[in-house]
Formats: sequence, C-alpha cells, structure tokens
Amino acid sequence: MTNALEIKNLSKEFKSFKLDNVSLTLPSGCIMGLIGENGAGKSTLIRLILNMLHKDSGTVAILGRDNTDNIKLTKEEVGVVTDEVGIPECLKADQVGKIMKHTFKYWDDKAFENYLIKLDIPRDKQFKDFSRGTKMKLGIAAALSHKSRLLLLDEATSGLDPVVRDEVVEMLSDFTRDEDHSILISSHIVSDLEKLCDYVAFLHKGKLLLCEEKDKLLEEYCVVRGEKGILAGIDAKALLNKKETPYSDEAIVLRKAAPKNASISPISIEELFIYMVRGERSDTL
Amino acid sequence: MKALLLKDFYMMKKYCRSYLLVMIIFAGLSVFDPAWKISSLSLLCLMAAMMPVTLLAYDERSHWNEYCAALPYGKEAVVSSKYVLCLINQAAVIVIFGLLWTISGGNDIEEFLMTAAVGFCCSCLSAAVVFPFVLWLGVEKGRVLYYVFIIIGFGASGVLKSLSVSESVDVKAVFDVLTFVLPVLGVLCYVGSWVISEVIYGKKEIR
Repeated sequence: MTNALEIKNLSKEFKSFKLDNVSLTLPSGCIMGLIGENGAGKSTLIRLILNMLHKDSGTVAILGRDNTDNIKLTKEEVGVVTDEVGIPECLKADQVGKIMKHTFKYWDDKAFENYLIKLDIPRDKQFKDFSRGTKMKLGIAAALSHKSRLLLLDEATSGLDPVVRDEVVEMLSDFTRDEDHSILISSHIVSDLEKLCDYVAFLHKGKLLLCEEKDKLLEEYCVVRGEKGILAGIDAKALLNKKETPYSDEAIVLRKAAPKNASISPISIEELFIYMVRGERSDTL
Repeated sequence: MKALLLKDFYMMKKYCRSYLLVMIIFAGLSVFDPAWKISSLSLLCLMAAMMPVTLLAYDERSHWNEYCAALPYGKEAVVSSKYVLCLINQAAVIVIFGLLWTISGGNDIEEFLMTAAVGFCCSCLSAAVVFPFVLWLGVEKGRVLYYVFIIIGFGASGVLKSLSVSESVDVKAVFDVLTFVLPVLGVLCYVGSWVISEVIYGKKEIR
C-alpha cells in the first residue's frame, strides 16, 4: 500500500523563518500528530503539502502522487480543515453542501446530511453565528463527505471545549477505521494528539526534531528521577535531556539505559516534546 | 467554476442588497426622466462590475482564499469566476434596464444599444484595470486603484465636456470615434487583463 504522505528534504525560506529540510512519511491508515509551538512551521508545512506555497527544495507526494503533478485531482481525495475553517460568513450549512456538490466529483449528499444531524449543526443559521466548535464541526463534516482518503487538519481542535473536542476526536478515529484513510493533524495542544495519533512528529523553529511511532517512543523512553548525581552513570547518547535542581536530578533517557536504583516513570508525549524543545534551546544557547 | 459562481451568488444575495436598492432608484429615475437614462445605465454597469471586488473583500475576511486553495478548483478557475461574474452582472443590469426602457416608452433601440455598449465597455475597462491589482495586492490596495481609475474617468469626461464649448473640435466626430474604439478597447483590455490575472494569481502564494 502506498504511503498517504511522503515528504523528503522539504525546505522553504521566508524573511524571518525557515522550514528546514523536513522529511516525514505517513503510512496509509495512520494518524500523525504534528506537534509544535506557535510559529514552529506547522501551517507552513501543510500549505507546502497542498502546494499553496512554492517550496524552495524537496518533494512532497500525496497518496503516491507528486503534489506538483495535477494537484487538482489529488485534492479530490484530500479533506482540509484549517484553524479559521474559511467558509464565507453569510453561508448556511445547506448552501455549503450545494457548493461542495459542485466542487467534488464524489461529494456524498447523504453523508453530509447525516453529519449535519449527527453533529447537531443548525441549518437556519449563518456561519458567522456559529460557535467556534460548530464552525469546526461543519468544516470537518465537509471534509469527510467527499470520500477523502487523507485529512489534513491544521489546529482543528484548538480552542474547542472538551465536549466538542471529544466528539471531533471520535469522528477522526471513526474515519481511520478504514485502512485506506489517514490523517495529518497539527496542534500545539499535545494532549489532543496523544489520544489520537499513531505517529508523532515534533516541529520546532522550522526543524523536525523527531518523527516516530508513538507507542515506540513511549516504550523506548522513560523519565528518571532521583537524588543528585543519579544520572552520572548514564551514557550521554541515551540521555535525551535533563533537569537539575540543587537536590535532585530528572531526565528523559532510553529505558534500557535507566539506572536500576532510580525512580522510573512512563513518559507522556507532552513531556517528551517539552524536554526535546528545551534541549534544542539549550543546545543553541 | 460552477461551485465558485454559486458561492458568489449566495454572497451577492446577502451582501449586495444595497447595490440593488441603488439600482432600483436609478432605474426609477430614468423611467421618470429620460435624461437620466445614459448616465444611469453607465453607472449601474460600473456598480455591477464592482460587485466581484466587493465579494473578494468578504472572501479575504472569511479566509475563503486559503480554504479555496485547498479545494480542487485550480487558480485559473478562481480568477475566471470573478471575470465571468463581472460579465453576468453587467448583462443582467442591461437586460433589466432594457425592459424598463421599453416599459417607460423608449422605442429608440439604437440609442439603447449604443448606451448599453458604452456603459458595458467602460465598466469592462475599469474591471480590467482593477482585477489584476486586487488579485495581486489584495482588495484594500486594489480598491484604492479602482477609485483612482474612476476619478481619472470622470476627469476625462470633464475634459471632453469642456471640448464641446470649443468650436474648433467636432465633438460629434470624437464621439463617433469613441463609439468605435471603446468596444474594441474594452474587449481587448478585458481579455488581456483576464490572462494577466491568471498569470499573477497562478504565481501567488496563498498564506
């Protein structure tokens, strides 16, 4: 089966920011969380994938096709939801459906209808009168109603209340039950992605710090805490980053290299991300 | 492109009601006072041509441009939809005005067609100037240019008017030439502008 997304050595430079040599692969049937703080380059990466920005170098293949080669055809199979959604403010849900019917070859009116009902999206209100959660739900309903095989979601869960966020996460999980369906979802709220993703990619200041299977990361790394000097015997290569206080030491290390007399606890993706970003910062200082 | 036009029609229905009101007022004025006919039709054509620019402003505000770039339209369709909408709007104005002209007892078809052609061509010319700038620089800066164009247009008509007091200039001959030149110029500029806009927008990065 072809990969849903294959990015190789992708670079793009602006006046004050550079997305630097990013390579990642999203296998079909998987969800990848693109994690990074604000301004890390997540939206830039998604825009480059969709060919909205012109890359300086590198290649992007979506569903096995180069993104510069008939991108219109590729976009038929890609559902996109951005932070702002982008639906004109005066439109009502039914009007959006009619527009999309003429937009996508494989638009499924019935599926859209069902999503409107299931997600409790009002038909008599204009888009501008929707809450942020409802706006996002309409965007997701549209993205899921044209038999898309890949979803690109840029900060689609940011700013949603926990109930709506949970609904959205459930919808996305349903979508990937089909082995041919994949999702790339970016967020700076790591906890959202931790529940959902099979793969995580950390982006920091335009550089990809890591792209790995989530479970593998959680298996491989752990948090080591102990009294001062506990980290002394650990091989530097196994030590991801450490935090020292006058009384104790704490670090993220490869589980196999963890000292036996230390307190070891499982790591969360959020902790891993924060440690890696801090490590990157201290390296550049 | 059908989807893009449908979206624009929905938006016009909502946002361009004030234009409709102005159109009714001018159409009414020209029914009661035939002297208004020529200027009304020209102005209404100009307003109809301006509607896609107004819609582009709303597109920008709602981030439609970014969303649209993620949908399978193609940049040439985005540009073409605005140019086609501009033509549809003007055609609608001319048809409606023609009906009113007939109802109000106008029987000089030649005069109507001439008036419609001049209004249509002037509007196409103004749209041809504005669209590439609006699509390239955004609506705010593009609109400024549009108003500059209107001011220049009015200035030029003022100069023509002042010529009419000079006996050395055959004003009728000037208008005869303009009647021939304007439609050709209008069509050439419109088609040229369409091509230029497609190139400009095609190269533009959507951020």
